[in-house]
Amino acid sequence: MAYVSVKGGADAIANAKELVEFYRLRKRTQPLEIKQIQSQFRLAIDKVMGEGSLYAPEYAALALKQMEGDVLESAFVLRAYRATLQRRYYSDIISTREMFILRKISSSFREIPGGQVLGPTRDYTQRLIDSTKYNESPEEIDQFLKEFDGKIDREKLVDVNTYNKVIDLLKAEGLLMPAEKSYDKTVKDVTLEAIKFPAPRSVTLQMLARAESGGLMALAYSSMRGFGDGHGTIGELRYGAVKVRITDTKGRKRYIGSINVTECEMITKINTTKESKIPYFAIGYGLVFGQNETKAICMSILERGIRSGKKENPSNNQEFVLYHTEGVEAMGFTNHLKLPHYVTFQSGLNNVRESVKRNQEETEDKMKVYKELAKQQQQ
Amino acid sequence: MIENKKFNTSYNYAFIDETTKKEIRRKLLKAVCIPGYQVPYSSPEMPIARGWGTGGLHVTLAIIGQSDVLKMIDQGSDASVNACNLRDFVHMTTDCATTFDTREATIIQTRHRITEEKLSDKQIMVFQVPQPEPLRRVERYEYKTRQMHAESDYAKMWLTLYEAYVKWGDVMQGAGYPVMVNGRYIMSPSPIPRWDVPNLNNSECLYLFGAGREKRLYAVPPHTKVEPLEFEDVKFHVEDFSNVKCESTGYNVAYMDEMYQDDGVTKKFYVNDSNFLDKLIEKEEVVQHSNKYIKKIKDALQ
Amino acid sequence: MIREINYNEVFDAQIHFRTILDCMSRPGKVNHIGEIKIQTPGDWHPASALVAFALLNRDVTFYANNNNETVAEYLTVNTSAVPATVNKADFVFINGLDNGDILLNTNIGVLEYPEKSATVVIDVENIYDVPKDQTHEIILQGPGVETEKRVYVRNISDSILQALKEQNSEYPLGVDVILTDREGNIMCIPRSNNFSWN
Repeated sequence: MAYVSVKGGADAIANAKELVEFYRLRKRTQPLEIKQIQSQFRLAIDKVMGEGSLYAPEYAALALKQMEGDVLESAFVLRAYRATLQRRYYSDIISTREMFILRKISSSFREIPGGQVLGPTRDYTQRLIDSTKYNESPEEIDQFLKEFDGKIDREKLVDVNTYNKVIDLLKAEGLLMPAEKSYDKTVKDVTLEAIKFPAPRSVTLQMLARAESGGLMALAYSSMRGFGDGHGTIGELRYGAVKVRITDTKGRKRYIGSINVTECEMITKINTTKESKIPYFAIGYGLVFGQNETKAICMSILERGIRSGKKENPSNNQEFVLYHTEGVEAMGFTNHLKLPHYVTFQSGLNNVRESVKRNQEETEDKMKVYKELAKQQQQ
Repeated sequence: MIENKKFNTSYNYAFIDETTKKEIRRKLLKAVCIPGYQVPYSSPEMPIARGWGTGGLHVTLAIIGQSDVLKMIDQGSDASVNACNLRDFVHMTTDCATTFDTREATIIQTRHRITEEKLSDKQIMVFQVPQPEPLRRVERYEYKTRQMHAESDYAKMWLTLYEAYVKWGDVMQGAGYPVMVNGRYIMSPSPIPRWDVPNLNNSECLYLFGAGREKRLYAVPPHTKVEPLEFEDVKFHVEDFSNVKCESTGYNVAYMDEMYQDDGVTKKFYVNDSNFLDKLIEKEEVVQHSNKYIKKIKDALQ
Repeated sequence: MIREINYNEVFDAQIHFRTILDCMSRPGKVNHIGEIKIQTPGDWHPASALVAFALLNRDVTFYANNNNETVAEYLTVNTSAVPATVNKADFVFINGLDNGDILLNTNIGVLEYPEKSATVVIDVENIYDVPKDQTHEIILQGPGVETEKRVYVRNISDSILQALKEQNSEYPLGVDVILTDREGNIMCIPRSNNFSWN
């Protein structure tokens, strides 16, 4: 019962807090600079921003530093911070058609408008642990950057362009399923109200974009593996920078900066609907902060599944998917099991004891009757 | 002019911004107007983990003011680590007075207990609720349970309770025993032991409930009828401590903690409510909640 | 239009909310809602305005006394709440001598979400907890009231009380009422309460 001991709670917490800080620092290594974390832990930061639902790389880096690299805890800190900020504006809808492309691939066509752009990715590398990174020196980094810079043809840089989407090709041919009549276009803000089911698509997309990457993957994987609609084809996966604009009170559009996002458009198998017997392709959509391709892909699979209306698979059930992939909430509740529950437990204990006692009494009563019967038979 | 708040170190009074506070306040009023009904609310993220009392904090922070005195308990104890942390947080963001003394408090935030000491009409008790939906055990989907509440369709619930009786000879629900509020809504009293459940009925104080993770608020106003679900022949009963006594006070008409000693065999019992226990030890005058179950126990003792 | 400057939106709002919460939890209990100097348009009660300041913001809609535009403008300026028709408004501000028909159009919510209903704030001349001449005696019963509570209200029409009874006849559907008087007293009748009057 040590952790509720009579009056030591406050001291115990203070000590625990100090101790965990000691564990962070006890090896007396060089303090990590925020800029370092920001530049060298780029993907961790993208995850933190996505799950933390706040595009703020510096704050995400700070959170990672504070939380000793725990991505979900960092996302939690970022969310808590986000909740203290007042929403002054809603941005205009970002257009990924005008994305400054850093990476763009399609697995449904060999060639796509603008070509396949592999961009920064480790997809096609061997995942061998690289022992040369153990002692990386600033000189080596300089050397690498210098050589890399030498390979860039500056003349060509100005040609980098924005491209139309793969789904536009399908749309132009009339192969995409038109929006369902039941499609609810209402736009809600999940940070400002509790969701109600069935929830409009805007809620699905927001919740999935904020969801925990691993949780999304588990459910999307189940959908692909046999508990869902099977495996779609990536129409297009792009990663790049998009412009964010707001409309001010006087109606003027203001550019306020750009953010990096990963977008996935998943083409799923041919569908016929009640409204139309013609088979169409259907699209699942995923969009997340930063470069987090696994999450964007999983989001698109789940988004499509939820809209399919076939509720028998967990991954197609909106309430199931959205509630249980909410990482910050899931983590909190899981950890709350560490809180003392002895009052609750005592109540259950009391019940079970009484039930066992009743059972014993009944058995004893029965035994008495049997013994009595046996006696009579002997006589 | 947008203020540059980058890396600031100060927060709003009571942490939550005024817009959200107003939303919570409006919904608390509706909750009071429809006793036992779960009102959905925004439930903003807090710097406390979900499941650790965020709902209770939302309520406390939305209602607290400069003249309030806060008491924070967890499992009946003021000294429980999480209670300390939450108390610190509220104090840090409001500079409110805090107390261990149940009588002094104007707001008592609690997890899993109602104080043994009777509460007055000047006090508000705020519960942290992990699962606000009493029907969740019998129906897993929210849209269906909402329909059931809407239509007062509680057949499934009654059936489950009855099945438990047939199987085990009793309604086995321990903490969080479901109650009927104002004859209309079945409500989860949060995981308080059965011992506390009768104290929700016809009280002097206002009871507010916050379920942060599940984003629901509800309330039991003073002098409201709150009845534990029971059958004609299977009555609700509170935990039985008639065979044990508090090790420090000898008292046993209170909810007890059972502590195994280091030998792993012997057990000692103590009054659970830390402030009530203190008052018993100090022999201070203290008025306990009264209800028909406690009365019966006291009558039997005489 | 007047923008109130004496009002502290953090601390005054909190105190007034607690007063309203106390009244709503104890129907028929008469509380005083504070002494802040504000300049409401016409003879609209400052107490009603303080209730509005405590609860309204840009996320909610309101309807003011028979489309009273000055009150509407005053509320928009001071709370950013959005004017709406009476059937859609989250908050409805009327006078105790208005015709009860307005009340019949208020939103009473739906069974799944009965809280999505109007809160009605009614200006009356006086509210007393002891019998007075020329008042309606309102007798309340229900949650928040131990046995029954009697309260005495001057200048509230039978038609409003009748309409309120009708709106709240299908519990949990209904509207919740806050009465305010000229002296700054408030008193509440939530939908959970049954009432009659003489």
